[in-house]
Amino acid sequence: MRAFWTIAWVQLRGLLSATAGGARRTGQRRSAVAILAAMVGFSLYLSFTYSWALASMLRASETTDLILVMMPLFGVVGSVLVGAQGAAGFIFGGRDNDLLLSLPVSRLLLSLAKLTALFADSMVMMLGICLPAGAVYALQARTNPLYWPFLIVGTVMLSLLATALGALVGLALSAFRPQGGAAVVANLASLALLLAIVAGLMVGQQALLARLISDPSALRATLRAWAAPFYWFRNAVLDESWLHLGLVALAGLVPFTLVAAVLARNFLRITSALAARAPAVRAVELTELRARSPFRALVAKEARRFFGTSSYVLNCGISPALALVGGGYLLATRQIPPPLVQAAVAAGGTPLFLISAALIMICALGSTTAPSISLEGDRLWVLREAPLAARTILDAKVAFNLLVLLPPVAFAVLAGAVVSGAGPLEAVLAFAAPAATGVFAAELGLVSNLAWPKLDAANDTLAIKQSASVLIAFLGTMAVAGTALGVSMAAAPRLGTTGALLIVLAIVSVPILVLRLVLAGWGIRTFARLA
Amino acid sequence: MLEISHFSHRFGQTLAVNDLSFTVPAGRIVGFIGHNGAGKTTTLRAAAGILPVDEGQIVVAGHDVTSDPLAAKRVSAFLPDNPDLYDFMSGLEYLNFIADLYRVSTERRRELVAHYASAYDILGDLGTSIGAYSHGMKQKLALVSAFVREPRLLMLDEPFVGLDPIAAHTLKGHLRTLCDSGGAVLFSTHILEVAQALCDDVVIIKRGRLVVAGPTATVIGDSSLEAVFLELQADPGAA
Repeated sequence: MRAFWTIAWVQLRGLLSATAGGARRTGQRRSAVAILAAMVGFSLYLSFTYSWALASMLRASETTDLILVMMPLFGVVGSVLVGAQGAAGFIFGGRDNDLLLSLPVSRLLLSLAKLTALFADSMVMMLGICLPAGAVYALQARTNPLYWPFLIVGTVMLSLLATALGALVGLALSAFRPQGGAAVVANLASLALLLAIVAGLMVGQQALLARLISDPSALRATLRAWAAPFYWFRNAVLDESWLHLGLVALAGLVPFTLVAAVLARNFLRITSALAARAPAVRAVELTELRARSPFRALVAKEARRFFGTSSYVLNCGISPALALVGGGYLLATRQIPPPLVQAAVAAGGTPLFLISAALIMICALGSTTAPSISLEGDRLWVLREAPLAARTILDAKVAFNLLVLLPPVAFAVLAGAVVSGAGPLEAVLAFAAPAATGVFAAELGLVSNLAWPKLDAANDTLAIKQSASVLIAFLGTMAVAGTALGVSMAAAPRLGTTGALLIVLAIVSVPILVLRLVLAGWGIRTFARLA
Repeated sequence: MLEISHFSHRFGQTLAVNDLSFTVPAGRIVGFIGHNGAGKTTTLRAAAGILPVDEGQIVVAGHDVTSDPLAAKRVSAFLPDNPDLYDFMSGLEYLNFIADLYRVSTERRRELVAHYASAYDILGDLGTSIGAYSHGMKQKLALVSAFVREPRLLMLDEPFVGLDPIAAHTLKGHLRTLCDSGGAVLFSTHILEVAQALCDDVVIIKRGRLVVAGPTATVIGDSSLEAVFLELQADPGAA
């Protein structure tokens, strides 16, 4: 048992250390804890806000209790998506697998230790979603004394289910991971699939809510039949039902135990098979060797890295993809959605102003630069020994981010301008505001990664998904973009769309210039000291 | 070709290299020898511009590594002991990338890649992802990437570890050819037989300080490099 806890703790530290920025000093450890706390607080806030909005809609059909079905369901889906990436990199592609397999401990213990670390990660996410949902329900309806204990125990049990499903999906991802050029195609296809799911959920949510209002009993019956564990969760929490709590526990424990057992039995076989896959061999001609400028070579390297790494594409490619989907939707329907027109009238702006506002928030969702230095990892020496100014290397990372982001944003604005009949000045400003946000996000990502590099991450997914630099860049960009947007929306009725967009530009331009100066001085010095 | 004068470097409170001075003249292969943690890698990394020079001066082909790092890097190449390369690239993509960074013309890079990749027997593997390479293949690809730059100074950290005997023999030939054409080589090694047979000069350090430097024949005299090294390392007065 002692060996289990030792290995599980090491695995968990491996997962969490990504947030610590490779720091050893106590002060930096504290900052890592503070970053984690900030992120947890932000997640709780987001979940609470979303739960509140959902509960308000459900109240109209007197089905507020369904929030305790739907939010855990969303939590498990999200947790599986995140956990699958962790499992692919951490369990099946773990750098320490050879070392662990050589230890004199059972494979059941090894698989349990790995799954336990993944479970801890999943549980934090599930609690972050289910506790605010529970709070929202408790604020709107009477609850019994065992409400909170049952809710917490049930959430923990559903986290076991999410862990088991995440591990299975992670295994599938590892097994079918293509190599070479096929990886780029597969990663783009994965992103398209993710977008289709998101778009489907957005459209489906409208249909779901419409159906909820027109026929709540039918929807309840559907959820009871097709999302049984989540309905048991609702019954356990609201009815103090030990039977349903037991069923939820079984729904979590049985798949978790089965996955642990199957993994233990086949861990060596799986990891060996994954490691021994025949590489994609391609006959090459030396005529493929062609000279480019160092800057273009660096940008191309960033592109190769981005499109060749599935977790990178899925986590940092969502902004341009959403802009493309939005623009495509506008062109396909040839009309601005009526709710958007109504919202524009209410906000005192034009539809294109609101499209630009949406693009600003999309551009703030993430940047490719925030994990880009961490991803250099042990390969940093290649750039450091090359005859390149640090400025060139850093600029190439920003340039690639903008190359990926700005064309889709321009496309979405153009589509919005065509469909809404906006003038050229408004269209230019509607593009400039989200573009400036994109520049700010790219620069902040780079500064953040220079301040909190994670050059020894156990795998790419950890650096991309949960490193300190990514979290800080995300929160910082959201804060600035949200502030700029809030001020411009407040000013829109008086200043009009052009004035409001100019306000966004003015607010975002200041930190852009500051970060530019920071990168030119501190950034270059810091990059030179990275080791 | 390489002049190191009173170079010191600290890692926190630890003095890794202490007032180290030696030169690598053009046309010479110099073996850099010392026990684990003696400061060899730190010195090589500082000369390659990867670590800052805390104290002293390092000059590569007349270019100060601190004040004119880009000029110094353009004429040199460094390979670490365990060269991690970009797993997401194929071998050919990596060589093209390196050639771009060093502004090697299209025609010249094709000639050099053909020559060195054939010599190390990896020409047929250049289309494969580096992630699928063995340690030895990565080592060979890293060596090809170093020669593609046509460096005047080549600095290698434990270059023979992981190489098969044929590749090791080929590398020795390439090092000699580079020196014969006016270049210079500085490499660290723990394989003293190789150093004795290959190196024109040897530099031996201990705890970051120079113990002895000079022509190999002068340093070892009638003895062997191994015997001299062991004697110097055991001598508490040395360094």
